[in-house]
Amino acid sequence: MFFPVWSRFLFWRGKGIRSDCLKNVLGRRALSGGGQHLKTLHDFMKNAGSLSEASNTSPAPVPPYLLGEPSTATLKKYFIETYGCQMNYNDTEVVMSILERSRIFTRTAVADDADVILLMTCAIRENAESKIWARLESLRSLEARLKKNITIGVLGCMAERLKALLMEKARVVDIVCGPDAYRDLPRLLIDTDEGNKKINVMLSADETYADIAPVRLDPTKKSAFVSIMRGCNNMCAFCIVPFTR
Amino acid sequence: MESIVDEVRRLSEEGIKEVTLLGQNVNSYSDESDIVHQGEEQKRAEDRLLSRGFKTVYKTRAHGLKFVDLLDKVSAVDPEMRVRFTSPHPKDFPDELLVLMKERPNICKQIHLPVQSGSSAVLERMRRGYTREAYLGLVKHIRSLIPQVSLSSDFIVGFCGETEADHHDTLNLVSSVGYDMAYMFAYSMREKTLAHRRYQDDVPEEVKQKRLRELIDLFYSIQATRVQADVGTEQLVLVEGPSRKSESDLSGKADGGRNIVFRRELLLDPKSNITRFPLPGDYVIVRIESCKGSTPIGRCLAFSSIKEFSLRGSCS
Repeated sequence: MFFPVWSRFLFWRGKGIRSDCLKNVLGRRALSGGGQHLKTLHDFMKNAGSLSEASNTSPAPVPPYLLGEPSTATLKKYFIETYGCQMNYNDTEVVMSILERSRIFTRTAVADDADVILLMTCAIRENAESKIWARLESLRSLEARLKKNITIGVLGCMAERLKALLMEKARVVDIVCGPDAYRDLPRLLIDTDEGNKKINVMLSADETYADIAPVRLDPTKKSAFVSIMRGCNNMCAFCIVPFTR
Repeated sequence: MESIVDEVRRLSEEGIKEVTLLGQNVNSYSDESDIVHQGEEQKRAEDRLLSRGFKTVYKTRAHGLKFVDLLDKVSAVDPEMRVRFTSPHPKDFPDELLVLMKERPNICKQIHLPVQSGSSAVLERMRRGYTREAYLGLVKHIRSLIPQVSLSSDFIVGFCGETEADHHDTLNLVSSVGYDMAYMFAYSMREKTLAHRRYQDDVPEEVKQKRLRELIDLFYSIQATRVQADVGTEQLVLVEGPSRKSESDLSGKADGGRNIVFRRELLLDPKSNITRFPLPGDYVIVRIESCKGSTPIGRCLAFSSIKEFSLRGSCS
């Protein structure tokens, strides 16, 4: 019988997941999706002291964008890899737009240079997920080889399907973010140096990212995707998509 | 709807030559934000909604602007910009949509029509909302309106309870439809789905793989025939750039979506009256001369445009 590489993580008890963080997030997840007013990152920083549902309690260093125009040297570098359908490629472009807008992150095409590595994942078949487990394993080796702390984030349908279980099974995962929660990504990504793990898998009936112009993955191409709707209610017997999007 | 049309307009201004509208069920799109539209839409509701012989599990909303309205507006933004869409569900192809596709030269004649299985018994268990007969009827109907249409499908092999007879139904269907592209996979049971709750994943893995192999072999032999049949025809190709295998060749998609490779040659640009090489974003007429596997190889003849090519009277 074949044991996939991630099976070694099955009994891992975990390091550094702040239980208050997870409890707050899971509590919020119980709220019905849709209609939550999403604040900008600047709102979060303004009210940092007074947020009652703050999911990290350690004080943040003064972020670069409050010190004026950030130079690229102070921006954190992110590397993003996409798996699965065209919707995921389009969502990657939305994520890139959100991260660029935050003025904390800049994209790198080289994983070794990155401070943050994001995987946009697919859950349609077991094989699709196996690829991700294997990739996470290779990222764990990368971190060890480079001897640096890289924030690893799993986005997309596998994030939505497995939620906190992802972090339990693969300790290299720091952030889990589902397809309706990408606006929250900058907040989830800052301040993970102290081993804080963060998760946002809230599903929304309304989120369409309609106001976000996707940054195109390849600006030289003469073709573009335009996402016009999200999710599926058809409930075909074999398909997981209605549960992840 | 306006936000989508605005985005397409902006892309056109940036020089984008092809947009693909995306959604898990792209043609179930419905914009109910504008109440003014509700009254008129309700009157024509039934006719506008579903393909003949298809049904949905959720209550179809009669009011609101539909996919055909969106496609109408989007394709009108720039008649020289190609418009494609994916992934649609077979149930959402009312006549209105097919007629629009037929009449608008820049809406590509390519339809992804995922059937999943050719057996009505399996389709019923899958809760797809159509029978084999209804699906084949839709294919026939689409082809009667758009004869040159390029069809593709998804297939799940080895779904719960699939018998050899069911599998043969799928093979027969593939033979009779003649798809230009197929995405074929063995069934992988997923937690939370209805199949996980109600059925057993009871087709053994080696049987799934055998059936998958048979489907793949059948599909590729049929695809080869179809690609061969295009040899000698002229296609309007939107140039994408150097072909993957050779720097001296260029490639781009024909209207039906197939990738065409052709040698990089100087052509006369009628707008500037100078000869130059085709660049990404140019439309060129390519005559197909041979094929390598499933890739047609041809020679570029001239620069062209969607409008000019559509006036030629033949689209393939």
